[in-house]
Amino acid sequence: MTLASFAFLSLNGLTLAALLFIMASGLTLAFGLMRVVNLAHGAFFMLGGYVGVAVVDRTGSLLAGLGAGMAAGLIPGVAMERLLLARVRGIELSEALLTIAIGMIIADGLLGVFGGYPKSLAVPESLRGRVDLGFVQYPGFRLGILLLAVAVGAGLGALLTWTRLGAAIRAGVDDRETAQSQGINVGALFGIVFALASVLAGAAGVVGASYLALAQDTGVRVLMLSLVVIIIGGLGSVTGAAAGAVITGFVTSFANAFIPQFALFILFAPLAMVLAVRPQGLFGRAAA
Amino acid sequence: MLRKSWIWAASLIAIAPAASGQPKAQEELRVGVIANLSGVFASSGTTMVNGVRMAVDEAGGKAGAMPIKLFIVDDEGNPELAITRLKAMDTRDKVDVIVGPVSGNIGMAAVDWAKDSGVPVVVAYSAPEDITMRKAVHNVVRAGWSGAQPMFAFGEYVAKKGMKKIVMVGQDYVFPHNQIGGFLKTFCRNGGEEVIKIWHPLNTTDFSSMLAVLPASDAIMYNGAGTDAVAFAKQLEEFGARRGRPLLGGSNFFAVGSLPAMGKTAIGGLSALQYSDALDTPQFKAFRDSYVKKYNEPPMATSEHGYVAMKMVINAVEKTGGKDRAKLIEALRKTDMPNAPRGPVKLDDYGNPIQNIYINEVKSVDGKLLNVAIAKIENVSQFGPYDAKTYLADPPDSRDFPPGKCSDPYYKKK
Amino acid sequence: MNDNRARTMLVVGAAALMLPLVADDYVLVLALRALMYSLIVMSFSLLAGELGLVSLLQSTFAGVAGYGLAILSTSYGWSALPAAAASLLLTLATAAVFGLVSLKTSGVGFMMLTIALGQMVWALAFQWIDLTRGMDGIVSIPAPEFAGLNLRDPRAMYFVTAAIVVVCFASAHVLMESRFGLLIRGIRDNAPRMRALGHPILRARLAAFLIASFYAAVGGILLTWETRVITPVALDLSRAVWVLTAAVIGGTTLLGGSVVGVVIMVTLEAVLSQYTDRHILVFGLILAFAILLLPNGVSAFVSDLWAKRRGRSRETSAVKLAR
Repeated sequence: MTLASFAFLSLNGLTLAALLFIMASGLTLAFGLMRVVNLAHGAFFMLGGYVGVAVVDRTGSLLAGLGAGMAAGLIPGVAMERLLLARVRGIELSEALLTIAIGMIIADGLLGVFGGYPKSLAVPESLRGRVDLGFVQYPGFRLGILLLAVAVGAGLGALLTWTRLGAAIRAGVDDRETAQSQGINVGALFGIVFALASVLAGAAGVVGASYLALAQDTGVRVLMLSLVVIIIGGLGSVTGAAAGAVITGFVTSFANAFIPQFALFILFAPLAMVLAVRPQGLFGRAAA
Repeated sequence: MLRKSWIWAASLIAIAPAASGQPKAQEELRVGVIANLSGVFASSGTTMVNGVRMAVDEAGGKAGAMPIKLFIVDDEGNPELAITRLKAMDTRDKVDVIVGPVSGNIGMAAVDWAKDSGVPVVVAYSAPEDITMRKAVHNVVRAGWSGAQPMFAFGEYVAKKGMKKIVMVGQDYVFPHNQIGGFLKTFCRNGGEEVIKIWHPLNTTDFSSMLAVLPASDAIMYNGAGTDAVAFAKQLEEFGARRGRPLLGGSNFFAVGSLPAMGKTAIGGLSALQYSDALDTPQFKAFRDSYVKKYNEPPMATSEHGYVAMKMVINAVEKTGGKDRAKLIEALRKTDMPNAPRGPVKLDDYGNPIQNIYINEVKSVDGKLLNVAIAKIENVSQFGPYDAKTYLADPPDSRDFPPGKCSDPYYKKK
Repeated sequence: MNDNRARTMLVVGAAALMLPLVADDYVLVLALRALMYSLIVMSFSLLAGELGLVSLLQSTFAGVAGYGLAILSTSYGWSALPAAAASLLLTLATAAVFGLVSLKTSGVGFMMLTIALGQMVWALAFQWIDLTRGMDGIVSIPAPEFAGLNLRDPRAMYFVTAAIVVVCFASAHVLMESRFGLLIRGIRDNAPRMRALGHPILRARLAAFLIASFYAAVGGILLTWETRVITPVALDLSRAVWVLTAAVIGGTTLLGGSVVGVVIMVTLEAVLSQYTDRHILVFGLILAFAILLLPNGVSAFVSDLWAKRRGRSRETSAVKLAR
């Protein structure tokens, strides 16, 4: 393997990791705080993607598409949390099942509205070229996704470390009951975190559509990858989501190159190893 | 308390008729059409159905004196669902004949069902060869082709053009196996050296890693179609992996519906099929013009095949004067259409067409990308240059058969 | 077993047996599929209702058994019964491994783990093309002949299936009424207490898990003999969610829940597919409503109605699940 191909595969891994991180960071925070796994997360990805792609097709503006995608993730996300999940708050299983139901509705609805033709994002001409990194040339748009993920990570990190809101979220993740007794409005926090996660999912859908086609089962695949990432990284930890995303991205990238026939399955190997050795994930806390 | 159980029992039995479909109507020709209307090959399925509808319209909605009623279902590219829907069309909708399917894996499953049910089936586009070879069934005929049928000529053509080493990236299922099978059998016997086969699962949209380690070769072939194909073509350019090599395709790679998305990179691309986008014959032009008028886009090969399949049914019904099953099957098996849009179509003893094969090159014609025929080979059967017995004596095509290296002893015979 | 339930089961059973006489082929095949799926849903309800664990692996076990049967019958030419027996063993072995990995967790964590494991099996089936033929699926799976009954005939298949389903349900019922059932429900209700009393928690859970996987495997084998095709879609998450939906709609009481839920789902699917392609959307809506309004499922809802009329009440499974 040459240096160029190694660099290439590593960049592939990183850019996939970037996409996964954007998806998984919100998911893991929501779980850490609310003990709810949003199984409709993949559907939000699709929703954001389809809406974003449609807007880009019509207006030619990537920014507009991104905004539309984020809104498309945000609105149903907030609606779902406030109107539906709030009714079964505390009954973990009902919450999870409800997210499954919403996911089904959204995914099938999208199929009905947009049809069965897989869709991808028409990256604007100006962003389509390759960037010369010296030892390798790599598509600029994918590097852009990497930068976006870094920005998201930095933003989340800053939020959690330096703001009161972030402190409240961390307190809620650590120990919800105590946080509540300290006067933190946990209910409002739920809404904010869930909204954040849904916005990120929508954004991921738009940029992800540049190289993953949006089709019937894309939502499930992305959800699955996100679950693998947060299980590996540890539920509730954003750092864990980053670590999990990098591992997943790299394994996928290299496996796709050398054993493409088994690439999907190989992905579960790191998951299995983590579960066997450290079931709470790399950065998670031991099960209560 | 017993009342409740009677309610249960009564409702269970009452549901039974409610789930049944409409009652059998008066004399009409009920045609079940099955295709992929969603998923990786959605464009092929929808265009095939367009062709069927056009044929029905041209015939005034009637086959002989009988009105035609179409039942159109989506198999979603899933063989299990396809069988469920075929069974429903047979038992619930009481169809007289099935037109379709389109994608290869569905075709193989459908043959099994056809054998059990006895319903006449005109396979519109599915191309795995065993449908009209090792698994041939009397009530199943094809309006289309077998995967290897156009590739015999293509393999010879490519080898004679001096491209000795090919790297092939392909979708890992039975139809592409057949395609490269036919290709290799003539490629290796006409001077080729090797085809490096890289298989990937269906529905792969990210080829970045594969392209990072793509071996050197004289040409690149993508053996597949649909959204995977478009993604491959685009990423080949995006990642600069093409390195100036000619791009070859499996028969559906450069399907005219995918060309706009592929863009300039497709120009000069070579493939082989029993259809071409720019044939110079009056019957083709008439077909193409009607299709463009009705659907506002150029016809794909699948459109023409759906059209021909439906015409086969209509012709057979008119010839037999009714829809008696046994007579219908016999008439279908004797199909001989010298003026189909693609050229002459005549079924062989196994139910597969003997027809022209065109070597196509993608060219820009009046600003549109089209497959233009640069060579024509006539009277090609599913066995190509081989005779049936010898061909069938070989094992069926798989990922590894025929072998990719032409130095393999298999190629020494004949 | 109390009189009422016995009478109900008898009447329902009689109705089911009479079906082949009144129904045409199409409805018969639907009823057949319903019977087979009810085994899989029963295996889900057994774990969810009695053990308190929501497992999305039940359809996976059915699929594993189906694939085992398919591969042994087609690639290796095994005859029906040995292939079925081997597939059952294969599924039990898989369940044992998965059980050991996942049964240390519970609640949502357990459910997520079952989702991940199920996807792993799906990925394997999708990609191990040499063994499973990937998306092409395995076709032409031979349907067996039992004592002169050719199972390709839907009527013969129906009687054999009905008999097997009755035996399975009856055995599950007997098991859950036994001491083992008491132990399982005890673990569901108060695991720490059971542990303190010295009961082997993990072993009991594992046993229940294996038993449930057995029923699911039987369902999977019957389904494969009926459709004679198997593809990775059988192992899909959407299939697991279908099972879940049927169980939630029907309610997780053993008999009523599974059968009621499946009959509703199959009938709805058949009726809806004539008018719209969007039946999954409808199922999602129904599932959402069921969770919000009828947390105990249809069968318990109806039972509750009758019970209220007689002045009794029942412990709701929502309370059970919430523990």
